[in-house]
Amino acid sequence: MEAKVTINGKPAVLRGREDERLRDVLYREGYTSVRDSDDAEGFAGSDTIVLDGRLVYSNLLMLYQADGRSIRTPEGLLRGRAINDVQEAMIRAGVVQSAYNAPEAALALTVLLEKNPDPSRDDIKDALSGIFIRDAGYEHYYMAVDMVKEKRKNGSISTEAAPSFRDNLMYVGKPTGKIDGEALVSGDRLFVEDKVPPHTYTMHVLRSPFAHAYVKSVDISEALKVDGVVDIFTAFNTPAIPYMQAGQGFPEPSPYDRVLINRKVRHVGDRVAAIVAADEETALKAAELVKVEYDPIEPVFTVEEAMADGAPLVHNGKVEYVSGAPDDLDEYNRSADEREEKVIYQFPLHGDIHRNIAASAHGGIGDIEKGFAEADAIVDETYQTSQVQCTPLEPHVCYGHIEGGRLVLSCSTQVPYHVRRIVAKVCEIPENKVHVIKERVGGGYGSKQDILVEDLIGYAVWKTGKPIYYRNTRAEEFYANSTRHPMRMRVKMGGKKDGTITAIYMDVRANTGPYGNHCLTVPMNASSKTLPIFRVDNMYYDLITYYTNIPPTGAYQGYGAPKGYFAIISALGELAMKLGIDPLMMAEKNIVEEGYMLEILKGLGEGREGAVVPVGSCGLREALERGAKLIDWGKKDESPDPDWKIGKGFAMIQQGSGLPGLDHSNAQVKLLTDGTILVLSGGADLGTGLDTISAKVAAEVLKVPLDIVSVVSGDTDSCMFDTGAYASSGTYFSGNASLNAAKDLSRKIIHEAALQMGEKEEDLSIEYPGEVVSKSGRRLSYWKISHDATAGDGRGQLIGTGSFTTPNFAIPYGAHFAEVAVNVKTGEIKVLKFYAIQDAGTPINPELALCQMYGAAMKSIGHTLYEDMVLDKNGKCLTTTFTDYGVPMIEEAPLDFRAELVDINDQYGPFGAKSISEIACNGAAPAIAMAIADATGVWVRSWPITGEKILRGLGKF
Amino acid sequence: MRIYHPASAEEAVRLRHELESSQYIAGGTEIMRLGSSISCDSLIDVTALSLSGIRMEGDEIIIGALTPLEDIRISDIVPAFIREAAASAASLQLRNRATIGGNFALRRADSYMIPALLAAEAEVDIMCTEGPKRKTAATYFGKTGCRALLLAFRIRAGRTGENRRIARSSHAHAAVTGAVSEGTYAYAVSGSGVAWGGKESWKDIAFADDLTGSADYKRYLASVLF
Repeated sequence: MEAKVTINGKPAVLRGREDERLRDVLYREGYTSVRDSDDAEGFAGSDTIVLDGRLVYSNLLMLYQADGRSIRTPEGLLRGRAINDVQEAMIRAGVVQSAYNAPEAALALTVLLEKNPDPSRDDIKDALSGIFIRDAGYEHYYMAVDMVKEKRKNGSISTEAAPSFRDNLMYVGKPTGKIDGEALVSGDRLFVEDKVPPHTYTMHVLRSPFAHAYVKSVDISEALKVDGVVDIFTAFNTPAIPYMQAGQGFPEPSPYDRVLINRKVRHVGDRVAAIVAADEETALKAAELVKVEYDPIEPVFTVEEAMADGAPLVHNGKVEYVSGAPDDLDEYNRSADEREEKVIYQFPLHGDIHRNIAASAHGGIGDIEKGFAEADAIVDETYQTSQVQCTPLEPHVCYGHIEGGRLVLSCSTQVPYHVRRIVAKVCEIPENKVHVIKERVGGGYGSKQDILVEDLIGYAVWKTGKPIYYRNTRAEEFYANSTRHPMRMRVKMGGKKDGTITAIYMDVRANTGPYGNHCLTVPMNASSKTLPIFRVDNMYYDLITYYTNIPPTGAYQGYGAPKGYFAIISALGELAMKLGIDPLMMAEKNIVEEGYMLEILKGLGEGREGAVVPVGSCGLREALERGAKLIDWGKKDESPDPDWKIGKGFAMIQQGSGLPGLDHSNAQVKLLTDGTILVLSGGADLGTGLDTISAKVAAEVLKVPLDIVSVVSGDTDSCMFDTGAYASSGTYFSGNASLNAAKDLSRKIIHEAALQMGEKEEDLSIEYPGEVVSKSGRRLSYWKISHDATAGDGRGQLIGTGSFTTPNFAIPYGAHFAEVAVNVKTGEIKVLKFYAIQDAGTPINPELALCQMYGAAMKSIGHTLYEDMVLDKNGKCLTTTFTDYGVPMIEEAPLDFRAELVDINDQYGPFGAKSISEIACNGAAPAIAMAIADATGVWVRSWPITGEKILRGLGKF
Repeated sequence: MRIYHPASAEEAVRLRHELESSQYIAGGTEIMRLGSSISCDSLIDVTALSLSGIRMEGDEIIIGALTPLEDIRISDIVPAFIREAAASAASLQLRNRATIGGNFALRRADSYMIPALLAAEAEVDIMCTEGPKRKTAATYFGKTGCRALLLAFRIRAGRTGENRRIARSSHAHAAVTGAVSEGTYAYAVSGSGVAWGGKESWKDIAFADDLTGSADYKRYLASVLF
């Protein structure tokens, strides 16, 4: 049909089927800011438009329903290329980060302010009630509205979204806004889906209905006859090249325990066949004609089932070691089943697949038994975390094509160089044949550290020569993606009445699911990011990770630390309660401080001996003191309603800043011919503002205006190698690489200027705005220097190169405090107050840092109270929508929510910076658990903490 | 999918009876939703029938069946507990499209509106093959499979009441929703059913486990809701 509409004030005709989703028609017609995050669930709001003045989900409308109507999309907020004041305010407030639905949020607030120029907090909450924000939280949206009101009243915005740090610096530590903020909030065509040309082929993946089964045969003959089908890939026509999908530095601390399509499926949703076809309808039709014969095996789903005697083996193939093979390997492999894929360890992870063990580790300091013997009280409790999902608004997606004989992949990834390496391996081609372009990432949170779709798309494109676009459905994001490892953690902690902790023991049993992505390192973090925060002489941990048949696990913001902190801080709280002392006093008595030697790190080296280093910059005590003051720690609040009980809790937390000794970053900074600056960073900005960090450090070092610095990043052809954006490495590693490259260019500019000016280098310095100045007062602009350097008789373009590796740790610390109300009659839970206080060193982008703290804390609140992947008895995921899974929306944000930065200057980070966002995932679960126990006397030791569990604890039914 | 556009309520009802696999469509939020409970070959669009709007008639408040939940939420004349029920729909975008008639006709056990309307002892105007009729909302609700077209809801002005909704979060399906109005109680329990009448009418529900919680949990909640 042809629907005659008005779009953004102009008449237009939309063509399509009358029952076609309006969202799809709008996107096809070029309104590409109208996206889809939920496959028409009516939840996430990326498809929000205005229809006849009302905010609606365009995915829930058919084309015919728009006929004769007026439509507004985010494109209508622009005047030419100029953004409106709401969009400007959102950038300034720091909420434009991964930004997949930032244009829709801007549209919602614009409409609100048109109807109500002075909206209340509840009005703003209502306007954003249908827009899911995962990255930046919701708090600064209120600030953005205040900024708009201020600008409309006064003509300008004087409100700063965050405090400034380092008065001696021009850009670093100042809330300048993201350099790509305008493009993102405008809805520019920046994401993978925007790069897909017409007539691109599609892929549909046929997935296993069984949690555990051998694939005996796959008959694709009838499916291949369907007109429009290009090819179908199965376990029987693809190479059996062992690899793994975790995007970790090579050699990886994860086993190579899979091939492209396995002959044994290990979870419901595992790959069985990949159908390449002209369009989705054709692919789905062909999928129905693929005949698969399975030989089901009994599955195991829990750690307890996996460790039981005689448990079915998730992996029973031949085991190989690249290095460090045990002497009895041949004997070990005698029982290997030839139908199964090999398991190859790059180095020993102390796994034992014959007992479903993917990896194990142990270590500690002191004498644990002596420590417990000295204790006045001991707690020994077990804590369980659940399987939770990253839920990026943009699902996993990839577009690939062949260009000039090379494989080109447009990716939404945190690890472009690992994508290149792994895809090259799967395709059996050298890396020079693969070009990976990291497009803007519509949310990653760790799940895009894993190569979950690029391997299959890369292979299919290389084999067929066809351009192919693939996008996970939201349901596939849940059952065929990566999730947080569920973990069972026993913590035994002993302490004295004076608050001294005498010993800590952690027994971590992790569930890695069907494959061993991050099977050592995520669970290790439960100990390696928690024990080093304690100044305790006797500490020990045991760790065993088990294979099971749950949906796959992998990296997720915070890695294993949020789980470890839930267990260890809950145990601290329980111990304090048992001793009858204040848990905060107990914490303050046992925390590390700057200079304390972290002997515990020796046993926490993730497969190798760790380096013992002293605690560097540390704002932990300040964070605890500030949080305690804000929440009025020690004062018991009472509700006028006797059914509502109020309690307080806290958690002290740390993380890391990348992986010293493992991570590696590179950057180049070019002086362009007009004297402007281009940074080529290997770092992958996934919306967090890493590009802005690179721009700021370059502008700071080279003393130029920020707006003459541009950044290209994460393109494997044009940028240099970087291990990727994970483990909180961006600021510390990629930022330091950009810093070093800028310093190198600065030196080269001086050198070139000295030659051009006939001066000595030591007599020259650089000054804002991009000039070399001699002691004699002569000045030479960057433009002149670059022009002459690149002239016919010049000495060549000036390019600075920098790399960064380090043995030094830049550990961020913090403390999160919560006040929670619990209705002891109904089990309802309200987070009344949440205060996140963190030491991020020098926050280079302070407004973005604060929003990342809000966003990470909201994720953690979600994991603690609402989110849960539920499987049926056969391993099928029952929670495949946002609603059923339960992500928090603006209504769930704490009533009083504050994020603050402690002013600490780190000795190793770029301009004193440390990491920011991962650590903010660590505090909510233990702080809320402690607050609930304070309110009700019930310790809930498993995620999610629900009303039902509290009521059971209270003996209500 | 074929879409029909009847010019009258009578024509809509006739089509609904003639077309074996058909459904009425108004806002469409359920029909278009991922995992919709509705599957059919034909849709009968009733949005041209002027069934939207809220007005007073004598001591009754008439709410057109196609009135969006958002219009109910912000109404000056709709009783507060009915407005609160409409406000519990997850988002502004949904409230702007979802209608009171659609929400009631779906008969979902986690409905936003059903307990409030049953507790309010609302009446419904419907169009049947025999012509227009007025029934109690409870009677209509109990007649599953009814092909009549909901035209309007009638609620006595000044009706007072209270809503309770226990859900893990604002967008989650409610485990238990309940309403009480002037001595009439109504309960909707996720995955279990709907009951109304006396305070202990919840005991008529066959409680079952689902994603919102165990049967024991929901039975307990229903017992303490009021």
